[in-house]
Amino acid sequence: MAENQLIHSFDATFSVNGELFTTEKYRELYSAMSEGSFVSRGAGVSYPLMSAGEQIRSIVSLQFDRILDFNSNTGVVKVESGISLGKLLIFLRRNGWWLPTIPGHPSITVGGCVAVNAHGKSQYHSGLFGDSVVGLEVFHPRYGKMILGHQDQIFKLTLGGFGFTGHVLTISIQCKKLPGQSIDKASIPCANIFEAVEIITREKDKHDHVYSWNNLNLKGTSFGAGFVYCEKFSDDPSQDLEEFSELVMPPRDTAVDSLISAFLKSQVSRLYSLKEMLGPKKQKMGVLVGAFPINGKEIYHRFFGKEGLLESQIIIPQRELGTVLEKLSKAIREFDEAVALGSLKIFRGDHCYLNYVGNGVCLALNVPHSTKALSLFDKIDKICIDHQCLPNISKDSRISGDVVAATYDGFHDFKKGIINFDPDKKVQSALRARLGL
Amino acid sequence: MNASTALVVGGSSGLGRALAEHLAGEGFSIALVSRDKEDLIAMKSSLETIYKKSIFIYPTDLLDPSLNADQIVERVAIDLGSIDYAFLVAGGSFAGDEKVPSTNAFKNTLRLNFESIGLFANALLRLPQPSRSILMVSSIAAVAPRSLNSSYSAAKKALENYAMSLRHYCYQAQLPTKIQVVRMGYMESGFTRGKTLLFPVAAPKQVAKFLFGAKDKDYGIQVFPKFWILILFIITRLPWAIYKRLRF
Repeated sequence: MAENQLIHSFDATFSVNGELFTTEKYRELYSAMSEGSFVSRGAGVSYPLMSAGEQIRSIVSLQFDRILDFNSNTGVVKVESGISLGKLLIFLRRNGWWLPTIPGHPSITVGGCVAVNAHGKSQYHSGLFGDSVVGLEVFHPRYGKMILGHQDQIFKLTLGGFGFTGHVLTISIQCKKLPGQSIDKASIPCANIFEAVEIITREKDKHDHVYSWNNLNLKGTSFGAGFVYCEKFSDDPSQDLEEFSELVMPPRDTAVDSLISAFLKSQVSRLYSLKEMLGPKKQKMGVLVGAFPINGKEIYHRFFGKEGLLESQIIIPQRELGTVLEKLSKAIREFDEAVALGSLKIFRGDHCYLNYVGNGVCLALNVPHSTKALSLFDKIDKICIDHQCLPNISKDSRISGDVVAATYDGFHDFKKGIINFDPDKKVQSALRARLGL
Repeated sequence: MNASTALVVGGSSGLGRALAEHLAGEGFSIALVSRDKEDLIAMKSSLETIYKKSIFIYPTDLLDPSLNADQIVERVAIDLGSIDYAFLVAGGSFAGDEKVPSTNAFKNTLRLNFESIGLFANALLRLPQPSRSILMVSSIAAVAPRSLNSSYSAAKKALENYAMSLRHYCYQAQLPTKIQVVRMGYMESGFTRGKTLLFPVAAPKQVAKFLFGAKDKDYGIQVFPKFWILILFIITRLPWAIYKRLRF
């Protein structure tokens, strides 16, 4: 079933006229990819438009959401790519297993996690999603169905390859034993962003997840004051989720959205800060509640209305941290609008193609989409190039091919690998066009 | 209940898939008939992994003029031990089934929605140990024919009629089999996706739950969702002068 329609990036800053093709039959799926250009699409909740393009057919994988095999002795699970993280985790928890890496929202598909080689709350401990992938089945009209493992070059190009190698049919994942029945979470206040880095660095080996929320609107020595969250699995049982909330898809242009956005867009940080100050400093929660802190807070994206938001996520090498944070603080002061979110995590790992991985501190920030925001993000691009920071392609809707080429060691190798594999460029998307791949 | 068995014809997608998942969740051993082997293998793998039940699959093209439903049903009965319930939910429309339908669309629509389902019902009734219930899926189109999907509505009307004949036969012949038809309103599928429809669209999971609940009833023809009873009541009483002007 094909529908032509306006398809929006999840951050609501960009849209294209494309075709959404939905089926639940493999025969129709293969046939849909044999003519013209296509790109795979999961839940469509990546901030940039990676799963659609102008006049491109997006092959929706959501109907392919089955768990095909599970070995309860080894913990290897094989799933279709359209399965959501939420559905998979409910199954795994019931069987005493767990995903090593869990990105932000339960509606994200496993295929989506592979396409961006996503990270979770604790990249430092568990690496990227692809690190636990042990097998893939990928369909490309030029090659048919390919069964891929670690030894295959296409396997490596597929993990974090934004779907350019074809449509991922199935994914086999090495799960880990469920580390506990609940999660204990502690909030530690921090006076500024440097203290946050200090606490995160100190606590990272003592906990399963360590990350922070930082108020980047505060000036001077308070820049980045906020809370560091330290989480540890516990064996005590706790009430958990059985079903999940749905994200609010763009365009968020109803009267209610406009109202929410007009009054609250600039207050997001204040509201969150207030909530954290009044809330408990220690909590026990179910493992699914802990896995998805954003679940139930889907109103967040409505704060930004139809204009949407921009996210930048960068890995700052330790040696550049002081300089980069100073420059960033200055750029945000000049920006003179409210930053909605700031957050830190520790990252580690070697660069590979366009995977978002490296050694350093990962800083994420969200701002309402505006001309000033675009100017701020241009400055962040420059900071990245000047200080060897790595911007996350799967978060930033406007980052250019030039910036990516200047910041990713593996850009040219990735480009060469993809073009060698698919010289006809059967897979096309707004992202591919923007990056010049 | 745990020992029950069921056959689902059209069991790899849409309503059939939702029904297979529901039945497996209720502890049924099930047999699935559908066209594509790859879809059936995925269903089998998934249901066996999650519910730890044996699932039997029979790749079968219901449009094949040489379809031998007796042979398939006999094999299913041997594999499952018995067929307690049969859900004959395969169906659909074809491109070209509008205004005066193309010959292919006309033949395929009748074959898929009436002939093949009828053949499966016949085969089930010929088994030495007949099923407790045979449930077929019709459509509101059977009651409110229109210029679009004309052969589809005709096929569904024929199916309803035939099912009620079999129901009467089962009573007369003192067979234990209940024959039922569920007349469906709008349901999420390739045919409704992306269309702006006047009335709410039911999810396959909702419909599957209803069919499961209806399997031991003996109501003849039921309508789901229920609000369609009122709509159909009104539509069927409209004078031709008004009916002919409806665009639906």
